[in-house]
Amino acid sequence: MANYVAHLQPELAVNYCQLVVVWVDDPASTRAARHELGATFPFLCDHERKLIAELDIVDTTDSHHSRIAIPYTFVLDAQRVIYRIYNGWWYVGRPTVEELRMDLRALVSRRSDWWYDDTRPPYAREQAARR
Amino acid sequence: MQDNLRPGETFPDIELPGDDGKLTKLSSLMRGFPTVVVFSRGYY
Repeated sequence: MANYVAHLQPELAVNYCQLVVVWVDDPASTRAARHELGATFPFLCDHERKLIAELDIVDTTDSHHSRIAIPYTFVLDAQRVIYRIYNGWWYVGRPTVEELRMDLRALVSRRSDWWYDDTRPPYAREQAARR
Repeated sequence: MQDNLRPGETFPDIELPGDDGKLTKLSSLMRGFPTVVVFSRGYY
């Protein structure tokens, strides 16, 4: 998370995309954690663990913590359609800042205003025609 | 994981309290742009 604060958060401030964290503490504890991290992106609190149970992403392998989430990351397009899922149960499965940047670029480039009409190169017109 | 949580399917418009305690819908945070949703286990 600290990596996202340090390296992704500055880009989110200018690229219109959003990062939302689902945290499993109550609002006061979550607010304290967010401030400690220095995060400006929003945190939502699933302190009753109802959402992670509903989505069936509760980690049952961790005997030290009570009903925490398997650390999945979902990349969504503007209509909330799932573009990519990262399973972060193994730390190496969690997306890097660069992977998220590439995912967000791919999604934002679907916008009709990605190219200004008078600057769209031929290959982009061909790509658009194939979609 | 729910069967419908897969690429190409629509992610639910989840509603949870923000860290200000106010109920907040995911769609209201997205503001019409691509969004990354991270289910976190904490600081690591």
